[in-house]
Amino acid sequence: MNIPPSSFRQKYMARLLGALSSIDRISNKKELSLLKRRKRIKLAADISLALTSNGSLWSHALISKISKLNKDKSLLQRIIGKRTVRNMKNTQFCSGTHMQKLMAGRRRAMKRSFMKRRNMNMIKAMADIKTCPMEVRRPSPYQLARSLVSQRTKLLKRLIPGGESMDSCCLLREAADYIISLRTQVEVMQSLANNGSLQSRQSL
Amino acid sequence: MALQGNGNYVFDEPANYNSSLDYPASTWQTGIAANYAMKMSQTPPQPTAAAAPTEGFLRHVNSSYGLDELLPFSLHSLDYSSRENSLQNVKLASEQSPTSNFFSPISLSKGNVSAEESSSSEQSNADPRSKICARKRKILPNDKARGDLSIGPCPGENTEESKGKRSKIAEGTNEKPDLKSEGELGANGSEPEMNRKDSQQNSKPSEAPKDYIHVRARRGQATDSHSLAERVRREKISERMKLLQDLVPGCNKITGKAVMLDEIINYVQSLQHQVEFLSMKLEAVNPRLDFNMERFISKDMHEPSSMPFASDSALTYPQFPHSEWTQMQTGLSCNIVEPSLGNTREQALKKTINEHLAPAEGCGDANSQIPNLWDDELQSVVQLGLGQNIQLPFTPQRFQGSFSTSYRNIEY
Repeated sequence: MNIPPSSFRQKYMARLLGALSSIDRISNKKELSLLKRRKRIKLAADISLALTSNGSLWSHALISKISKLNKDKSLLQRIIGKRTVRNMKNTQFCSGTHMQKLMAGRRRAMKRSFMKRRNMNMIKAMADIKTCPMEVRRPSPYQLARSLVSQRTKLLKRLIPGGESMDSCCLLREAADYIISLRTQVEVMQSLANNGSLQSRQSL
Repeated sequence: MALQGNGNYVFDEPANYNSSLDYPASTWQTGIAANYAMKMSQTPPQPTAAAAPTEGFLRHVNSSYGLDELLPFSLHSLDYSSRENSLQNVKLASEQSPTSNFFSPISLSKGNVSAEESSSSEQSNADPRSKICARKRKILPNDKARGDLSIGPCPGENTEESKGKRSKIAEGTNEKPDLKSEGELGANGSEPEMNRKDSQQNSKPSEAPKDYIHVRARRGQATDSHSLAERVRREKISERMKLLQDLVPGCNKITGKAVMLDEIINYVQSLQHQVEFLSMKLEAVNPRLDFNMERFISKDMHEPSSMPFASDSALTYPQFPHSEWTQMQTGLSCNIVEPSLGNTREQALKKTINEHLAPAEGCGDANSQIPNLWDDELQSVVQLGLGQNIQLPFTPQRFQGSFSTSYRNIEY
């Protein structure tokens, strides 16, 4: 091993600091309100996180989502990463459609088996209901479990950026990725915030 | 947490995670505390000698647990810092002897919980596969490195996980042939495969690349193409659920998708809330232009979540102009260039950065009014956002506790 591998945390720290410095550079003259400033800091943190964990689906989706939402803050984005933003945008479009095609194909393939199985379950359930008419119609445990799982999968899809266009398999992997990056983000920001605030207090 | 040389995270603040118990209802927080308590009674892991000096996060640690112990092998290899390690290990494995180096990271830390966990996870991955199916990963023709990585069916699946986050694009493209092969599975799945399915599959050298995935039908199960494909998909999902189970602390005992998904959702939500709170805190801290960025760079490199009252030398450092972040970056790059920073070199580094800062001192006086302005706002923001118990001084564990309390206030 010739070159020591720079860790994810170091990279994220570097990027975050660069992003935060660009905030300062932009808002050099005017005093920003708390809210705006907070939004910009969050933006910087998220974008730098997505940029450091380059290559995963959710990072692409996050960057495209942020760049769509904040059209007026393109200055900030340009400073954070000029070429990378453009590259991200291009690749996001490509991968988005590609992913969707893949997903559509997979869904079609799996739908057949699912429909089969669901029909079997429905038939079972109907048979049960027919045989015991006095009982209240309640979903079978399989159906209940499945509905719970599907509900929570939907929630998870909403949580993870870009999760809507993923099947559950990809979703779980992206969730793992995302959890790791979020953890790193929390740690880095925590150390930044703690040490920074301490310094200010000591010097006072 | 600090990052050790071999990619292990080092937890050094027990109170961090004990205070996280304030939030009552989730298992993963108790899991963190439980893990830490478990770890306290164990010996710290022995870092591999080669990897230890290469990272910048060196510190003397009394009690530490590596990332291995929270996350077994398959996830440990997802960590960024260990990507190259694992890639090299696996490459060596494919070139020399298929099994010995692949399991070497495990055998090195033999006496550890991590070893047990990772080896058990490895074996648990191996054994069901040996019973159920023999699978060969389709080797991309244009990706030679990945061809080397596909040692055998079971490690093939693990190496897919073990490539680390940097090679996600390659993995994304690997999904494609996977899907294609699953489509082709319909044609080939009905015929049972004559591949070896016992533990020898780990020791198989990388065979000649084939164009389809062989899946052996389970004994007594339908050999329908649809059900086979479904089973493959289900196994994938269950593998990833296991991965996630190790990521989210405290989910070891949970069996079942629904509960597990619930925990995952809670964890992700709480992490996102934490990020929001931290950004609020950063926003309060950031405009204070009088604080010493360079010092906490070096602190961050060495002691990321350490106690705040470390040394008094910070008071002597000059003030920054508004471009303190760029100064930080120079300090940061210095740190990255010399990752094995000992205590003696830390002083030298501080001196060099101090020299950088000296000419900028003149600009610092103009900004002295701003900290006064933000002082009151800081107090108000802190009290609003972080709860009453956060006053001077900031300490990591209190902050962690305040996160939980404030999170709880928002939730309920």
